[in-house]
Amino acid sequence: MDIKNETLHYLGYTGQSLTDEEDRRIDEAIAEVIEVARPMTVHRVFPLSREEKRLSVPAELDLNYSSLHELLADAGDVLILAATLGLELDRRLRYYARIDASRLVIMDAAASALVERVCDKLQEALPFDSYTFRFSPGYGDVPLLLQKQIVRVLETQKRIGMTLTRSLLMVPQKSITGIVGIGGASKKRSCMGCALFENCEFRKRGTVCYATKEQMPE
Amino acid sequence: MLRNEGTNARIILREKLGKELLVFDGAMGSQLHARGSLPGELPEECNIDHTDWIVDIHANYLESGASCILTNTLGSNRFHLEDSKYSVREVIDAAVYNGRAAIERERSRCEREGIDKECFLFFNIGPLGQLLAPIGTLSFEDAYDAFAEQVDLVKDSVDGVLIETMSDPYEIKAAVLAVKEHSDLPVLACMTYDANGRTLTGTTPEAAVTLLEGLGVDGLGVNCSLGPKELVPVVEKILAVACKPVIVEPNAGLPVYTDGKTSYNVTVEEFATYIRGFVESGISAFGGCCGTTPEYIRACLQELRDTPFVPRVNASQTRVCGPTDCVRIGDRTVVCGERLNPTGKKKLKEALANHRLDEVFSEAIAQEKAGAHVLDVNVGVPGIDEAQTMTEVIRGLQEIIRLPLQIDSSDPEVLERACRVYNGKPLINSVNGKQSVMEAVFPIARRYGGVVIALTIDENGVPDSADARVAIAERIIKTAASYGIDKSDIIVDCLVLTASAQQEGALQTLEAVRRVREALGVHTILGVSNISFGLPNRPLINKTFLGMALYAGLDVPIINPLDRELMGVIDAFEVLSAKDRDSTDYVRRHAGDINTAVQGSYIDTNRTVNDTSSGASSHDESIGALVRSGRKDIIARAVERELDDSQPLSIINELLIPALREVGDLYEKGTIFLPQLISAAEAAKTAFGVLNERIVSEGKSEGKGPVLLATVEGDIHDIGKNIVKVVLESYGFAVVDLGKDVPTNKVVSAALQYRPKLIGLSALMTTTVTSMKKTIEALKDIPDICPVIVGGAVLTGDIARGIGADFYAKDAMETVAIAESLISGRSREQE
Ligand code: B12
Repeated sequence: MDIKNETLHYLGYTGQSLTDEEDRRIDEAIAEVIEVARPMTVHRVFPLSREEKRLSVPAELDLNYSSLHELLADAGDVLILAATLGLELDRRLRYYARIDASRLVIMDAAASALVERVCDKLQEALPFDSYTFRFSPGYGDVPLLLQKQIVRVLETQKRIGMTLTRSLLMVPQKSITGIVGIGGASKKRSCMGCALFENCEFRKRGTVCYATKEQMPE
Repeated sequence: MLRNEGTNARIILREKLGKELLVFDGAMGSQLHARGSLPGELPEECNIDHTDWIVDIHANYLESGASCILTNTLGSNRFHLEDSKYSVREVIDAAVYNGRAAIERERSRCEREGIDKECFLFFNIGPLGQLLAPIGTLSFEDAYDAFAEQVDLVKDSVDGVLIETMSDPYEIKAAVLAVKEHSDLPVLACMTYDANGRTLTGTTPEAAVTLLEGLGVDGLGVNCSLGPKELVPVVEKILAVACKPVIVEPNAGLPVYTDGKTSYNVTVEEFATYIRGFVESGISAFGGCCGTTPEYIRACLQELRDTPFVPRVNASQTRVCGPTDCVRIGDRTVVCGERLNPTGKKKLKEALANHRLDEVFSEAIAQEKAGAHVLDVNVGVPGIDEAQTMTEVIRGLQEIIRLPLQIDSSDPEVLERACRVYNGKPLINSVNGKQSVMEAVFPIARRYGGVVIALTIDENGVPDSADARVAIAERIIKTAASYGIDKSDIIVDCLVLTASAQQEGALQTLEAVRRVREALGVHTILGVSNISFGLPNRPLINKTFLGMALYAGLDVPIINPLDRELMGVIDAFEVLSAKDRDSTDYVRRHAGDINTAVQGSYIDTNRTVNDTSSGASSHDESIGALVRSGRKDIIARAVERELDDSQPLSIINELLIPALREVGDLYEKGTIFLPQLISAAEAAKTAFGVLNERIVSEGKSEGKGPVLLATVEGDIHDIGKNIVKVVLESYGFAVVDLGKDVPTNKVVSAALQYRPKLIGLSALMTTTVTSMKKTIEALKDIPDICPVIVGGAVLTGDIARGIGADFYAKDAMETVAIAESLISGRSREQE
């Protein structure tokens, strides 16, 4: 999808009128993110085996959570991926945090949009034609602890310079880890079971965080 | 028995380094996977669980021709082993034992076969797996302790240390210091680079060499990263500048995953050919990283049969570096920004005294943007803890800008602490001809690396003549040498005296500059603006003197980079001295210049540009309109105009607040969206800034706040918190923003330091609601603590109450309403 649309979506845009000046500033911020970001990805595909309702893969990776069982119900293989936009972008965002808050929020949104896009691109480039949606540790009942295993299995530090803090957050900040089922019917995402169901800023506006208005099934 | 041998081996190793080719082993990980370990398993546990595998792998490498093997300890630190069934000590003891066992096996083989061979056991240190602050959260000190723990366990049982696979220069600095301060082992240090030729944290090979040689490693280089072919440019760059022996350990190409298994795409022969190329260009040691096997090492030795060993010898250069890039002194003119020095700057003095570091940081950003290459940092104001402030400022600066810094203090204790936490190789300001000063400062430079500024002054003051100044410089350079500091790590300041007081002084200074360059072969630095004290039109004198000094051989002028005329002199000089090839930079910077000479005044072109643009685009210049359209660039002037007729408080109540209310409503209704809200809030904040200054100077009030804000530990979602911050500021609240993923103890100490009127905490994840609760509990232990307000989409009023918060706000506007009801700092009723 168009990165500008996605950026606007993250910014809560629902068709407000923009002056040329505002439009130009958004374009500039996006351009700066694209210039500073160093997108890097690492992924591996593992065959899934099922024994007595337990999922396993040939790696130190525990997939036995109900959200993942549901996600991977019809999948034959599982794609584990990590993507990051690199450290320089973090530095640049901190820089704007000191001097220009509006630039910061736009760049932040653009970066969130870009990192998702980087994952989409990676998936498109792989020779598979059907995927479930991209699931991240921290969603549903999957604890952030799983990040630790993913980081080891993918060797993210060595390959893309991504590490975890003690509280299991990723650094660089604009990073994503994902678990995607390959094959079988493609699972669609929904807001059911999300911790933010009640107060989500996206839902308040009648959208969802994982799709723009145009993409919503009415 | 092995211990004595160890000490001996160290000496032999140091002798061999750079004099003969050292051959290291290849990959451990892929060998373990081949024997059945799974992706994601801790390879270090195999030291105990599969001793036989490890000893075999080591022995195979030795047999294939390697003489240096690495213990299987890349991740043997307290962080990686946190979830392991074994302790750091267990793993490391076993790893060293396995290494020794393999060497023992090789020794008997060699004895049997009548081969004369010396083997060395290197302790392998890798990254901790967490990124260091300020970008990550691990403190430099904790990183150092973790490495030191490892080194303490092996300092008597191995022959050397190889630090590998590092991408963060700050982390490798912690590791090298830990090795050097906890052992006398020879230490080699390698970083990994990616296809862009930088490490994953953005460091160039030249900057890495600058840092590592400054720290005094015994050898340095590159490992892992990519295949040998892709490494060629990186190795070339390292070899072009390194003075220490260089080691290269490439991967066997890039990994290819098939059916859950990994293989690599460079053949044994190809690998060997590239290694021969590296040896021919002057490396001193090689080995293999991911995907290499004993066959690769064997093939390399085969390929190298007839290749003579010629290590590269480079002349030393004067270079400093920050976290990513290095600056070479003595090539193009290097501009040192002078503005982070409180001497004679009232505003900066106040900012430092009141710990308003944001103002310091903005000043740094402005200088970087204006084209400075290095920034002087001096925080010496009376009544503050200079060392503490200096380290804080350095860390804060290195979080946001990449320029190397010049650490400026007359207190060696401050220099020591600052150099320790500095990420890179700094300029150190300064030593002079006094013996006591040199004794205090040179050991610091020796330990942490640094280019030291030598002032030509001694016990008898600044000599008048150039001769005497050159003599002092010479003495300083000699003394430095006795500390093991090369003259390339000294730059001389021949000192600028005030022309109005000592008119002949200017030429003497310049003569000294010329001779220091020519006779001593050392680079020079000068604080330029001293020259013009007491004379009218100081900029004119400054410019002229700068031109003269550059021609005399000045390498580093310390100036105000925001002075575009002064910067222009440098640009012009670079053209006329043929340093700016084809005048490229000059043309780029000056093509649009307006000739100001005719008007005879000094026009800041920046400002002119701004003025025209703002005049053109905005018609309604009322304060309300400027808030609504987010014109923070021109609102300050509008407020000042308004102040001619109105009281500050009536401007706030009648113009600003209503405009903000309106903007808030429009946002609520969805008529405007986030960036528009923020711009408006920022404009209002700027207006408040002007009004506040007026109110405070009139002694009417103290201003509102401060409000402390933080996204709690474990959470990085800070967009919501940032909105709350900007909106609060737009209503005139002073906000101290602690950032995101903020540990409880940091919130508590900030609460003690700033004594806020309100503390706001934000969380967006289920998991972090617990850390919010913990934070609130800790805050409630502080006597007379202010109320705590919480927010973030994962919370509800009920949850907020449940975790002990005093208030909950669903959005930024509600937060303002609550804050207003609690804090009536500037009681409007007064008016
Ligand atoms: C943007 C976003 C990101 C961005 C973060 C950018 C940033 N700088 O914050 C990125 C892409 C980096 C990201 C990453 C992750 N995210 Co995320 N992210 C979101 C998303 C889509 C929007 C959050 C947001 O900004 N909302 C808009 C703001 C304006 O709203 P708000 O924060 O609620 O703030 C308002 C009020 O709440 C209030 N308020 C806020 N703070 C405060 C403070 C005080 C004192 C007060 C009074 C009021 C107040 O005022 C604000 C203005 O009105 C949410 C999903 C969602 N639907 O919300 C997921 C979400 C929060 N993320 C989630 C997760 C799990 C992650 C990851 C861990 C996933 C992963 N494994 O890769 C990573 C972690 C990254 C890392 N580095 O470790 C989950 C959390 C689930 C849970 N159960 O806790 C969510 C809910 C997604 C989901 N559907 O499950 N994420």
